[in-house]
Amino acid sequence: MNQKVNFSRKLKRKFKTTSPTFIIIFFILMLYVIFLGYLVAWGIITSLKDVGEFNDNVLGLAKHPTFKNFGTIFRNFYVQVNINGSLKTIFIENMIVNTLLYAVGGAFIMTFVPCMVAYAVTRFKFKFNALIKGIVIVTMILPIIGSAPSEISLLRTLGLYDSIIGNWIQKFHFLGMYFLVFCASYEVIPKDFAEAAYMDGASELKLLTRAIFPMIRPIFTTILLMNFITLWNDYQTPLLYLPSHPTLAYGVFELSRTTINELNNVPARTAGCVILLIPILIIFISFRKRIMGNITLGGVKE
Amino acid sequence: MQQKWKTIKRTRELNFYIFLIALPIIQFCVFYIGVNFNSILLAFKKYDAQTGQYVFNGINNFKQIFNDWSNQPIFKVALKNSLILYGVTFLCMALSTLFSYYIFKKRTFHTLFKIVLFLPNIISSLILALIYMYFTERAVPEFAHNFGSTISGLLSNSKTSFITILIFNILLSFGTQTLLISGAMEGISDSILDAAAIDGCTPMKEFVHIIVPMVWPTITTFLIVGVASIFTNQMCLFSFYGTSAEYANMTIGYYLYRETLLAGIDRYPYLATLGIILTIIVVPITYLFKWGLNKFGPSTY
Repeated sequence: MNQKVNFSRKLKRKFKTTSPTFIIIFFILMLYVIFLGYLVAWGIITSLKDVGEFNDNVLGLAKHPTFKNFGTIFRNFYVQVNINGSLKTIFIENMIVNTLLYAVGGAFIMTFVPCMVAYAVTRFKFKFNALIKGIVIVTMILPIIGSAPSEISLLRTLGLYDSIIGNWIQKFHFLGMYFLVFCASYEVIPKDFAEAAYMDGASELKLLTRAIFPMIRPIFTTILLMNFITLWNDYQTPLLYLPSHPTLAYGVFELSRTTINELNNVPARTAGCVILLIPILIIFISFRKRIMGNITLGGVKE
Repeated sequence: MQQKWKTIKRTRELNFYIFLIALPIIQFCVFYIGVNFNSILLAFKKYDAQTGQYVFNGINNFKQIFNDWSNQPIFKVALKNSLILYGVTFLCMALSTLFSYYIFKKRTFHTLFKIVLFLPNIISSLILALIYMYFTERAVPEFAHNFGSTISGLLSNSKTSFITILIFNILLSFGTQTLLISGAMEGISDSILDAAAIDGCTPMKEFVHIIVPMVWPTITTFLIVGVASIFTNQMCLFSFYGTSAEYANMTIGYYLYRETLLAGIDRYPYLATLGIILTIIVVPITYLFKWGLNKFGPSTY
């Protein structure tokens, strides 16, 4: 009780010493927090209601919370895909496997490749470095629109369309902001350090794996997590490039359009959303400081 | 001897350098240069169903697009919506900068606000869109009913759907911007802010005359990237409607994605041509906009 009174006093004191600008921003932000919080909470509460209760009580708390919807999802959630003209049913277990291959494999490649190319560019003095850096900057500023049809057509020609390995090859590039982030990180490592290890007889590979990489591991992990979250949530790329390898996000998208009786209701569909949401929330809660603290524009703060 | 050692060292470095960059460079040549070159070639071809091959079609795809542009209202509506969405980006940028200032000044609940503003970057836009859709379709009419009025779902009603989608996009737009702009504010020297405080500068004056000019490069980066994405931003329409969004709500980005997803290979040349035309339009605009922001933006003196 006393704590509550103290907190309220503190808040009042703070408002007395603050300007109208901050008070207005505070109220806008509070509105934002309340709305977003209410929206997510409503979704979670809805997933705990059965259809009957939801129809009678759309807005309120679940009077008889049930995990039945989650069971229904695990039993009935599937996506039908067309493979060589015949329909194949993909169940949630396969979607989980596809998601892991797509998100874990893809995130690792999308982090590893720029990390290695950035190392090459910052460690060695070759004229080609300027070209690589130039390519990264130009492709970031120059917007290429509508290249997907051409890319699909190329992937079909190479026999890589609709395959996880083909998708990994698509992701095997060094373009984008993270290349610059890795460059910035390597540049702060003293050059003498590498030279000393090299003089001691370490090979280039040993130098990279045993001496340099451990120093940039926190940044590597942060970028890996960011890429993983992006790919875990991405459903449009699999829909376009991996139509017969549905991921969980792709499945949840299909779920929102399904006509299967058991799933054609709001509580079951929100349960699907919650299933997709939980792993990401766990990762975010576990690594919040790392994810939010390490990012600045063009660099990762250590 | 030393010369020989240097040569050996240089050769070893070169070998390792090639080992590190060779595959990514090949990938870039195939999947960036090759894809875009193929896009240009496709723009001058059409699909011959009899032979199953693409054949030369001159500039007919370009003619068809200009013809469609003037005859089919969908393009004009999509362009208008894309530009409105970009206009909203300005509003969001202004709000993000204010929020960043609040967080930078470590005011009440700043950590909570920082986390909540960033959450939409972590939670899938699909999940938020679906929950928002069910909320606006089921919960909002229920709210209205409790207050004695009757309304239909906001997204299924063509009068309210566009503004409802815009509000959702605004909700999603603050996370990264706020985080990066407040990060940029951290770099402002304390002595400047202390001097302003001694001179009796109010928070609003400090924000307008000191903070905004000093983080202007970060703000312009977002605005420039925003120009580049005018024709690719889908406004989350796909999450709400799949391939069946009303054409009154469409953006160019949504149209392109939807068409690519639904199209057969016979339609690829048309879409590649459209992409090239849009790229030709947006590249000079991006550079002009960048020049304008640098020339006429606030100065730090």
